[in-house]
Amino acid sequence: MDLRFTETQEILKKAARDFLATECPKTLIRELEQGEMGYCPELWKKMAELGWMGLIIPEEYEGIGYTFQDLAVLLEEIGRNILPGPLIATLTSAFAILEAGTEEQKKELLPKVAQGELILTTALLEGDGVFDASGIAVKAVSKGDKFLINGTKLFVEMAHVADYILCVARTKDGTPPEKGITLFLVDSTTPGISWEVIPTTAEDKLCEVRFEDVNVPGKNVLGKIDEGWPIVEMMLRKGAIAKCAESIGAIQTCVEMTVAYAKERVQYERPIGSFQALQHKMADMWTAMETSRYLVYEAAWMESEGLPCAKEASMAKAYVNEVYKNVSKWSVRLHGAIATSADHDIPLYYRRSKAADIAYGGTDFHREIVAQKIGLV
Amino acid sequence: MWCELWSEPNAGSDLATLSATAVRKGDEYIINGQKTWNTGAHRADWGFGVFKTDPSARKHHNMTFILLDMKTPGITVRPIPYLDGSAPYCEVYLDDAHVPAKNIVGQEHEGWAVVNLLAGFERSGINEIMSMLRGLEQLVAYCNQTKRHGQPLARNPLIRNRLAELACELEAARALAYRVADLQNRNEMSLMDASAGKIFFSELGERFAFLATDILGPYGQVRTSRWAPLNGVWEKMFHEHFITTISMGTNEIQRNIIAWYGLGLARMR
Repeated sequence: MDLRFTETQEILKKAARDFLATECPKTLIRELEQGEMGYCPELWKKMAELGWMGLIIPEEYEGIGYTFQDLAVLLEEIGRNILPGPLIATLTSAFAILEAGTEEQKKELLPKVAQGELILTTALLEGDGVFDASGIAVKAVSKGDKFLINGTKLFVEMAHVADYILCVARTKDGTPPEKGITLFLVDSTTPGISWEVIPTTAEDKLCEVRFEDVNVPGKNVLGKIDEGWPIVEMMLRKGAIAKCAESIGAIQTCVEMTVAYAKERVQYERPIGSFQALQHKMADMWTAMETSRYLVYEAAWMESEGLPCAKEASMAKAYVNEVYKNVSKWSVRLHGAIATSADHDIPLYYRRSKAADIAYGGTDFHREIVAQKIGLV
Repeated sequence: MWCELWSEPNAGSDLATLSATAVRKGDEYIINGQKTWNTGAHRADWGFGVFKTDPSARKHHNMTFILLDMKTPGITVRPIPYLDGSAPYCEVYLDDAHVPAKNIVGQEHEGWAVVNLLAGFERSGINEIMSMLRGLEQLVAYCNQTKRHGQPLARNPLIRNRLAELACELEAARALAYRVADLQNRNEMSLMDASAGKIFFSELGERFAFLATDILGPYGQVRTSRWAPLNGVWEKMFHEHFITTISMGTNEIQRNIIAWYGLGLARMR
């Protein structure tokens, strides 16, 4: 057993860190939060040139063919720096195409994703705000060789700039609710689609998306009709681990910044980091970070190896959700008033801890999966 | 079997202020003093201890690490009752105990270095973690089989949520333990990871004990007997979790280690 990164991963990590430090400084992040698009097309193009969108797309579809673990290494650097934009949304939607798409769909879409020419996102949540199938009421009715979609989706990441929206819709009333769910690759330019950006804590452009008699050709069904829920479960699992990888990078930045500040900030004629109460808090933050790290690496490794890891993925997400919120909160508190200001960088992370908590499943959703997996009836 | 003879009534976390003495006389040391919290001393054949050998020297360079046959005349062992009535640990009185000088480990007067080396060689905690995993399995089975208000405890959303929370933390503890083991395997001992691991698994044990005894309701207070669910193992854990949070270096000391030697934060003098 060797828990170190491979050489490829070390190179990927360093390259990503250097690239992001130069190309995505905090000034750009703040601009993107305030702006409408929420991402920078020029930066997106450069990321595509580095192969980031194609990282886990197989070479036969013009991707780089790296592993899920390699992706986790990249995502950790992204979380460390912060990178506003539709990368994770595109990648998790691409996973669905990779796993459930027809050869035609894969050939049509994946090379363009790899080149950075297609932005994807998935529309799952609705009014109830639950991650399970009981929350799906958006209807897709079959009309000959087409489907007509009606209803409203919420919290759809970057829908306002997406080229395709993967819509999780109900084609049949099912008992249990997991039955009768179908995934549709919806071209976002289709008439009848409208959206509005919801103002959120992280300003991450989660959208309300309304479908009014939206026509989707039958060939845009992803996977089997009525049997789309397992694909959603896969996306939630991979997306959860991906989000966790991003979060542990962010947590590290919070810890590093806080320790550095504690060494330099002087009050009562000494660095505040010499006060034991703060020292113990920082030791706890570091401990929380390290326990998160190895739990996420374990889940990412299992996913990468194709080992069943629904339990570990949910354990990681449920755990990291809380650690990121707590560590970033304590980072604010240990900096004192300065970190309550928008001018400070720590709040960029603190606000994202809430978004990261919810994306791909909140703590209680994942704890319930864990409860089942540990055998509670 | 061995026992450790380090702590004294006035030298716990601040072990360096110990006062038991070992006076060199020819090819012997004559040892006087009192040690405490000596786990298993009543059954041990030998003990390894630290004693002050150069009272005039500065702190940390005045003690020697010495191995003792526990049957040496002058050594008296007295069990100390633990809070649950068991007697896992002892006081050890040394009254002119004569010990061969060749029994020293390391250099004379440099016993502190030996103590640090041993203390730094933290276990990964994997056995405590696996023990908790087993405990969790049994607790899950208990919740599945036991009814309250007409339905299995397992269907109570609060129990589901809290058990799942601990299960997640347990997996995180296990992942970190493997990391510590991996480092040890390559002789790359990291004080920080070992300390973090120790804090985490010991406090997790504390949380487990509290949650499990909560779930058991009034039965959570029942000692091993025919009334005790799961043989009273969780009632026992309610007493025993202190062993891992307080011994092997208290968790407060572990946090200091992470802060001072890991994060490089200044010690306030």
